[in-house]
Amino acid sequence: MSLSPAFISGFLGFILTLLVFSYVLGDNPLFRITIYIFVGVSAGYVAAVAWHQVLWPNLFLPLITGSMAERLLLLIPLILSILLLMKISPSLSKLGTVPMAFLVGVGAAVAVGGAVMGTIFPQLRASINMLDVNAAALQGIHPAEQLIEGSIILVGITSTLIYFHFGAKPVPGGSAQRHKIIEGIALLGRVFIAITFGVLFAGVYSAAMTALIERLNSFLTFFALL
Amino acid sequence: MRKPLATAIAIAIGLIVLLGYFLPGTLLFEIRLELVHWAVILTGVAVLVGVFNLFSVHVEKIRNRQKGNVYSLFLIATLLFSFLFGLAFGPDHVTIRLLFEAVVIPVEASLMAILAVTLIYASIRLLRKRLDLMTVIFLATAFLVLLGTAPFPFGEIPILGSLIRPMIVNVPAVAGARGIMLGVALGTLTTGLRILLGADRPYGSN
Amino acid sequence: MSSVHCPLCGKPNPEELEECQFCQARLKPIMAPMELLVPESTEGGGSPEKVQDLLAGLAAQAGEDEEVIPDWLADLRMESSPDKGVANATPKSPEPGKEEDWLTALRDGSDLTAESPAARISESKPGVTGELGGVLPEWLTDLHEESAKEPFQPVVGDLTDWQTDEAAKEISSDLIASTEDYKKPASSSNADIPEWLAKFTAEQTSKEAKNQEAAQIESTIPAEPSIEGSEPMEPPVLTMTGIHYGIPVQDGGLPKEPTAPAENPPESTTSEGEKTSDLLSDLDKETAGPSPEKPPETLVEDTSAEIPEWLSSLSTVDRGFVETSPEPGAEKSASPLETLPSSSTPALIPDDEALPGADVDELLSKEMPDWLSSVGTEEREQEKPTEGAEIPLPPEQDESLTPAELPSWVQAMRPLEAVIPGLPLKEDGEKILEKEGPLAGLVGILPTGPALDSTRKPQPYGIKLQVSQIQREGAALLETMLASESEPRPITAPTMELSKRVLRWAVAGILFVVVGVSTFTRTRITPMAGSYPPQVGAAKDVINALSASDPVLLVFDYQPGLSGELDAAAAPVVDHLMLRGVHLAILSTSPTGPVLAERFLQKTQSAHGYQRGGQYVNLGYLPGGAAGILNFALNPTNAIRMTVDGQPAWKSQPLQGVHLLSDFAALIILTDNAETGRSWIEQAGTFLRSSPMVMVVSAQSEPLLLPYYESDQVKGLVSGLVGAAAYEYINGRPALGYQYWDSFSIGLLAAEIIILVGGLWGLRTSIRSRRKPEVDNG
Repeated sequence: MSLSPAFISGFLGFILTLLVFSYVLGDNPLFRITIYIFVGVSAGYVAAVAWHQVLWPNLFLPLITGSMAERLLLLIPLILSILLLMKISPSLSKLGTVPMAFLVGVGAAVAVGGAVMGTIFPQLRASINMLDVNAAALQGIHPAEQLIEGSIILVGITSTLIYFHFGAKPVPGGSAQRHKIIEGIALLGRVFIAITFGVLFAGVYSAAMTALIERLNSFLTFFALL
Repeated sequence: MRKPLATAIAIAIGLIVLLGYFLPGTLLFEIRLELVHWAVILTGVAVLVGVFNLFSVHVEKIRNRQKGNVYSLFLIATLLFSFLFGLAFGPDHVTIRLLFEAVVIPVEASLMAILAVTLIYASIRLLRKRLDLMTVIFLATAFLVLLGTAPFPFGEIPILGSLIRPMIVNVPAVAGARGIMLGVALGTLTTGLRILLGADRPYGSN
Repeated sequence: MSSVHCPLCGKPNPEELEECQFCQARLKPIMAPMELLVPESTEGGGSPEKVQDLLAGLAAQAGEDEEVIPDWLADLRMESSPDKGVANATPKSPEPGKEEDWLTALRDGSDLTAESPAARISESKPGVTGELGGVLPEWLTDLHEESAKEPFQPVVGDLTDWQTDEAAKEISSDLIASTEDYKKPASSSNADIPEWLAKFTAEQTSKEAKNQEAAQIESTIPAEPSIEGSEPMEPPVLTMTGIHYGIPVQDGGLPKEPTAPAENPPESTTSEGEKTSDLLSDLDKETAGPSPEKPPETLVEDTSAEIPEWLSSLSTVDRGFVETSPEPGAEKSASPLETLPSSSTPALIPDDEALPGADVDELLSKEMPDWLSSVGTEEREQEKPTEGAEIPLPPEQDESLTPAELPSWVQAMRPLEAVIPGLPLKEDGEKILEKEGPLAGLVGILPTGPALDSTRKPQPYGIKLQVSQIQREGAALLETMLASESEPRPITAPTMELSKRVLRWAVAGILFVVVGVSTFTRTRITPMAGSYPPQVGAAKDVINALSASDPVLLVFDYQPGLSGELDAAAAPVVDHLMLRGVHLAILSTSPTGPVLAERFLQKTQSAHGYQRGGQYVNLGYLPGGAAGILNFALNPTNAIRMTVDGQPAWKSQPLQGVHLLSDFAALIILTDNAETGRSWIEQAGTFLRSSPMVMVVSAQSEPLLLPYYESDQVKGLVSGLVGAAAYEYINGRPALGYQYWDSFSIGLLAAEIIILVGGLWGLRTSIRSRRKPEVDNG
C-alpha cells in the first residue's frame, strides 16, 4: 500500500462518502463538516477557474499584450468590472447597478432570441408535423398511428398550456374562478402534467440509483488498492 | 441619476443584442458581438463577487460567534486553500485535481446516492399524505416507467419495456413536456420583453 | 362680579341677567323658589334644594304614616293660629269672602300632624292664604301679584271635598285654565304659572289618592272659572299634591268634607270647554271616596314614577304654604293658590322620579281639593279637548328612558307642564312644544337638530392624542410583530417519529444491501434489453457518419454529482468517437466541466491513448451561460482564446481549420440538466447549419429534451444508464453500462417492490382514515 495520489483520493473519497451516507441515520456534525468542506473546496476552485480561464485571458492579458484598439475597447469592460466589484461593499454596492443592468440587458435579449428562434417556432412546427401522415409514412409509421399520436400530443400541449392560464373572474364569496370550459381543459392538462412528472420521477430515481451504484463501486476500487 | 441611467443601459444593450438576431452581417451584428463578449467577462467577475460574498458571510459568522461558526471555520479554511493554491498553480494542477477528485466528486455523488433512499421513502408516504387523482396518476406512471426501464433479473416482461413504457414516454409525456417547454419559452419571452421595455428592473432600484 | 352658569349651555352669565346671553335660556326661575312656602322653622327653608327636600319629605312622610298629616300642612294650620309658626314668605292678603275661610282655618292652627288633613283643614281658617300662611313660595306670591285675573281659589281645605268628583273637575278645569293662561303672553298672568307645574299636578291626580282630608280640602275650593283664555291667570297655590293655578273656588268656602262626594262630577271640567289634564283626571279617580281620617301624607305613600320629587317631598317636610292675599276686586273667591306669589318658582320635582316611599295618589287624594283631585280621571283623558281651551296632553314619557337629574335651580325653572302629568298643553300654530329637557312644556322653543339634542355641556377636547386601551394594545401587538420580523428565528429540527425513522432506515438498508451485494459480487444475472430506443440508434448513426480527424466539439456540462451516470452514458459514445478517430475539442459552461472531462477521459478512455494537444484539446470553461454559448457560437475564436494549459486554442492541431461553430463536424452535448441542453439547442442550434447535434443526457432530463429530438433539432439522444447499455449493446463494446447493469436492475426491482407495497399500504391507510370520520359522523 503506497500513498499514491490515487490512494489518497480514494481514501478521502471513501471516508467522505461514508460521512455523507451517515445522513441516512440522521443529521450529525460529521455530515455537516463534510458538507462545509465540500462547499469551501468548490467555491475556491470555481474562483480560481474564474480568474485563470475568464478574467486573465479575456481581460487582463489583452490589456497588457493587446493592441491599442483592443486596450481602448477593453477599458469599458474593465470599468464595468471594477464597478461590479463594488457590489462587495454594502456602502458602494449602488455603483454596481450599471454593470448589473448591462448583464441583465444582454441576458434578456439572449433569452428572448433563443426562446423564439430555438423553442417556440421549432416546437410548434414539430407539433404541426406530428399530423403529417405523409412524412410518417416515409418513416414507416402507420398513418392512423401517427394521427392518433399527433392528436394526443396536440391535445396534451393545448391542455397543458391552458392549465397555466390563471385568468379568472371574481365570483360572489370573494374567490376567483375560471370559466368552466377552461377548468375542464385545465383538468386534462393536469393529467398530462402528472404523467410527465411521473416519467421525470422515474428518471431522477434512475440517476440516483446509478449514482449509488457508482459510489458503491468506488468502494471496490479503493479496497482494491489496499 | 443612477436609476434612469441603468434602465437606459439595460434597454439599449438589450435592443442592440436582440436586433442582431435579425440583422446579420451589419455593424449592429459586430456591436452585438462585442457586447456579448463584455457580458461574458462581467460574468466571470460576478463569479468572483459571489465567492467573496460567501467568504465574508462566514467570516462574519465566525467573528460574531454565531451558532455553527465552527463549521464556517472548515469552509473558510478549505476555500482559502483551494483558491490560493488554484490561483498560484492553476486549476489544472494535479493537486487541485486530486482535491477535486477526493472531495467534490465523492461528496456530491454521495448526496445524489442518498436521493435514491429519499425518493423511495417519499413515494411510500405519498399516498398516505395526499390521496387524489393526480397523485395516483403520478405514482402509477412512475411505477410503470420504472418497471419498463430495465429488465428483471429473472427475465424481461416484453409488454412493459417495449410497449407500455415507450407509449407512456413518447406520447403523453412528450405532450406534457412540450407544453411545459413552450410555457417556459413564452414566459421567458414575456419576462425578457418586460425587461427590455423597462417594466421590470431586476438589477436593483437603488 | 359673580356669574351664573346657564343651565342649558353652561356658559357664565352676569348675575343680573334673567336670560342667558348665549342661548336665551332663563337664568332665573320664573316663580319664587319653593323656599317661600317653607316656614322658617322647617328644615332647609329658603332654597330650591330645600324646597325639593320639602316635597320629597312630603312624599316620604306620606308613605311612612298614613295617619300623619304633612308638616307643611300642619305648619299651615299652625300658622293660621297665632300661637303657631308662620311661614316666612310674604303673605298675601286672602281673598275676601268665603275663599279665605278654609285657608285661614288652616293657618289658625289645625294640627296637621295629629289630625287628618281634612279635619285639620276644616279647623283652619278659610282661604288659601290662611291655610298656606307664611309658607307660600315666592314664586307663588309673585304670581298672585302679577295676576290680573280673579284670585285663585284656595285649594287647601277640606280634604274630603277634594275627593269628590265634581269638585275635582272644577279644580281641574281651573287648573287647566290657569295653566293655559300661564302659557299666554305677558298680557295675562298666565305666563307666570309654570306649565310644568300644571302638568305635574295633572299627573299627581292620576295616582291613588283616597284621603278624606283631600276631599275636604277639595270641597273648599270655590267654583271653577272659565279657562277659555279671557280669565286671568290665578296665582299658583302650593298644596300637598302640587301647585294649582287659578282654580276658582266655586262656593268660596272651605273644602268639603272628604266623605261628601263632589257635587260636580269630573265631567264638569269639560262643560266649560276646558281640557282636563291627566293629572287632574287621575286625581279625580283617586280622590273618589277617600277616608277623611286618612292623613295627607298617605297620598304620597305609593311610589310613583309620575310624581315629581319636589312634590313628593312636600309630604315629608313640616312646611306650610305662604298665604297670599287675593287681588282686590276679584269677583271670584280666592283659591288657595291665589295667595301664592305668582313669581315664585314652582316646586321642582323630576317628572319620572318616583317619590321615595311616597304615595302620590294618597297625597293627591288627601291634600288636594276636590276640584283638583277630580281632574285626573281617565274619562277626562279620553274627553276630546275643546277648541281653544284644551291643550293636547304631552306624550307619556318613555319609561325606559331615565331623565337626567336636573339641579334644583334648573328644576325650579321647569314649567308646570313638565311635572304635572296630564295637564293639557296646546301647541299654538307653528310653535313647537318642547317635550323633554329642562325646557319641557314650554312653547316656542327653537327646535334643535339631531346634532344639538344634547343639552350637556360639550366635553373639552385637549390636544393630547386620545388613545383608547384597545388601540394601545393593538399598537403594542404590532410593534411586537415588527420586532419579531427582524429577529432570526432558530430553525428547529422537526422531531421525527420513531416509526418514520425506522421506515427510512429500513428502506436505506434494503437498497444498500441489495445494490451493494450485487455490486460487490459483480453478478451477471440480468439480461440486456431486447430493444433499444430509436434515438440511441440515431446517435450511433450520427457518429458513424463522422470521419477520422473531424473536429468534434464535446461539451461536458454536467455536475460532479451525476458524474457516475453521465460517465456511464457518455463512455460508449466517446469510445465510439475515438474509434472513429475524430479530434475532440472539450468545452464546458460549468467551472467543474474541464476537470471532469479530464477525469472522464483518464478513467474511461485511457485505452485509446488520446493526448491533450494531439487528439484533443481542452478549451476550458466558457462563462456566461446562454450568453456565453451565444458568444462562442458567434465567434468561437474570440470567445475562447486559450486552453486550460495556457496554450493558444485555435492554433492547436485538433482545431486546425476551425473558425466557426459550423466548422465542427458534430456537436456532442453531455448534460444532466434540461436547461443547459435547451440553452445549447436554442443558442447554438441555428449556427450549426448542417452539423448534427447529439445529446447524452441524464435520465432525469430525458422527458424534457425528447421533444427536441422529436422536432429534429437534436439528431440523437442517449439517456442514462439504459441508453448507455443500449449503445454498448448495439456497438458491441461493453463498458460502464454493462458493469452497472445488474446492480441497476436489481436496485430498480427492489425499489419497485418497496414502492408497490408501500403505496398499497399507504392507500389502505388513507382510505381507512377517511372512512373512520365518516363512520364516526354517521
